[in-house]
Amino acid sequence: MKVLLVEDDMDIGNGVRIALGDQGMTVVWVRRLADALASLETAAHDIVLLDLGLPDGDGITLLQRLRRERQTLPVLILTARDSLSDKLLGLDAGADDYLVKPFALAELLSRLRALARRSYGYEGDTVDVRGLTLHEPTLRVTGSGKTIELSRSEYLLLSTLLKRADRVQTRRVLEEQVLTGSAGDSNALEVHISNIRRKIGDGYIRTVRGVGYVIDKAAAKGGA
Amino acid sequence: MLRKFWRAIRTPSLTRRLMLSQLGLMAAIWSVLVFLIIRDIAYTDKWYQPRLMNNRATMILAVTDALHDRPVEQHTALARIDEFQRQEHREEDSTGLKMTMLVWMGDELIYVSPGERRRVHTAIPFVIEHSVQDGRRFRTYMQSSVVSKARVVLLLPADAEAVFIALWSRGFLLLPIVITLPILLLPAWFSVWLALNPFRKVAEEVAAKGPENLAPLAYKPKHRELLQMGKSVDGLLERIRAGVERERRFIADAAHELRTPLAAMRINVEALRQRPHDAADETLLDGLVHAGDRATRLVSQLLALMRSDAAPATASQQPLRLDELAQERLAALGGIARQRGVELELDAPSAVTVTGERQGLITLLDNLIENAIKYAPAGSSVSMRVATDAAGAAQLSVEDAGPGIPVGLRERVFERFYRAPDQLQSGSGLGLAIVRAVAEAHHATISLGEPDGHTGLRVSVSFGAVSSPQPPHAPGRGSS
Repeated sequence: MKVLLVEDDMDIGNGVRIALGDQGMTVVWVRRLADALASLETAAHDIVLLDLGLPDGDGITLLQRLRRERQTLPVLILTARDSLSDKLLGLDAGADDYLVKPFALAELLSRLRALARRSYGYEGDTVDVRGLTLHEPTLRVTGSGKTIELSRSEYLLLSTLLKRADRVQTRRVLEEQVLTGSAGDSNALEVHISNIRRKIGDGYIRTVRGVGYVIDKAAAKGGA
Repeated sequence: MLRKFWRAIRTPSLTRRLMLSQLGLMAAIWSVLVFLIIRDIAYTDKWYQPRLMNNRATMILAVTDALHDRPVEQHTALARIDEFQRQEHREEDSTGLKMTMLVWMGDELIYVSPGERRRVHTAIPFVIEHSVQDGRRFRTYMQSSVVSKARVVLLLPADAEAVFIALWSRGFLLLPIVITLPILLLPAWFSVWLALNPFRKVAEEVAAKGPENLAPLAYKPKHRELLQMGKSVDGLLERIRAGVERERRFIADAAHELRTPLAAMRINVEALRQRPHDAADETLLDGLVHAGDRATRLVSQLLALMRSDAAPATASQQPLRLDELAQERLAALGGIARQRGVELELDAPSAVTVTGERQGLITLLDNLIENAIKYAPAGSSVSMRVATDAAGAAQLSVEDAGPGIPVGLRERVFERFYRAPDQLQSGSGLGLAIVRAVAEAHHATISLGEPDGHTGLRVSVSFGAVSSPQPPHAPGRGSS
């Protein structure tokens, strides 16, 4: 993966360059807006890591120019500005994702990979969590090699939980996904979840009482 | 009690000053008037007019001459005249002011007022003289008969004592002021009180000012005397506000600027960690990452605090579903909870709406949840409850099974950078300060307590009643 890193801070730039290089990515690091534009014209990049506050201008202008030229090159913004309006500004200008400094390397890597997957059309190919595999193109979920028969609502719920594994999905979000039309039935979500559990086996879907559900990538370590 | 009274008397008061000066001036003016009247009366008195004395003396001499051959009747007539004169004079009671009459025939004193001295020195007839006799001052008038050797002398005491007595005897002129002054006191006090009302309003408003409220005075005095003061106070408030704002901006900027080096540190440590290294280095690298995380958290908390301080912003507040927001934040922090083996629970039986600012409430919820997760022992649960009380006010509480906070420290933990002693968890000491700042911006109150049935901490946040279903009323202040 070829990454264009636009970052004026020496320490961050160097750290990101080495960290991503160690992961087998090719990193071109520029520190000025003008250099970034030049590099975009001369070389092919798979993804852009863009800092917003640059010495010769705002990273947003680069983003706007890319989108004006209808380039689908994924852009991940790296910035210290964390207010909601700043985020919206970046996303509205066409950024694909937004990471606030300081960020964890693991987070940066997972977002980079997600963006790359999406841009190559691999998004949602298969997701595997502890033997439970979601195959999106065929709308199938397999457990221990066998296909699990799911209703449409059950599939939607399970695929959401699998795709966003390790992140608690709120009841509200899940209900909105599956209960269009039949709103008001507060038990419907529980019924669906218990049906799914019966089909895939216990130990996958964890309830966070009152909050929502989550599928953990790693099994619970005893106790809790 | 007595001391309090004494202090009240000793403390200078503008009202009293105005009243005393008014009373003093009135008394002085009145006294001058009285003095002028008395002097006027004194000067227009017969004793200052020889013509009147002349008539009187002529009459006495005529009687003396007419009855010169009948000494008994003569004496009786003179005694009657004398008596009349003494009664005629206003000061019949004060002997010191009684007119004395002496009548001579040649060298023989034929009449003298009862109880008076018999020797009087006079020199010039038909003139009112001032003389001193036996150490007392007198005004005397002497006149001789044109047909006989008869001679009459009239004298009236004129010393200081006499003047005092004269004044005293005209005391009825001073009476009005003595009576009216207390009656004038009440309207004077009332009018002064009315006049000082704008001052009081300004004072009350200034008293209500504080770091949270530095807006210009709402009450704009139109009075010339107060206009300048109002402007000065507004100016002072503006300068303070600018100063506070500058300081806040400085802290926010500093915190913001710290993020870039922190990010650099973190990415470099993590880049180093993913390279091959031996197990001993792992601990050191973990220490670096952990320290970096703490600094990062402190910086974002400082920013959050400065933002919640800067946003009294009722303008940006809007109705929000607190139960949904709580669900969202608990879900977002579910990862941290799982890492620490803490279970999260939300009890939100119905929709709860508050008027608030989204980012601020997120900060409040996150800090409460993170705090609870931090102190909850592994295997325990952190439970949040969101509900509406009978008065329609939103109530939020978060419970953990951690060590709790001793009663004596419950106020102090809201102070910035305060950390309870014997603290095992690392932290900035800003979490609850932020929670309080946000709560205050939302007119909410916070109270700390213990969960029912087990040790730990319960933080309760009580919002004002929301205005959507019910007609708007004053924010509720009850704490759960």
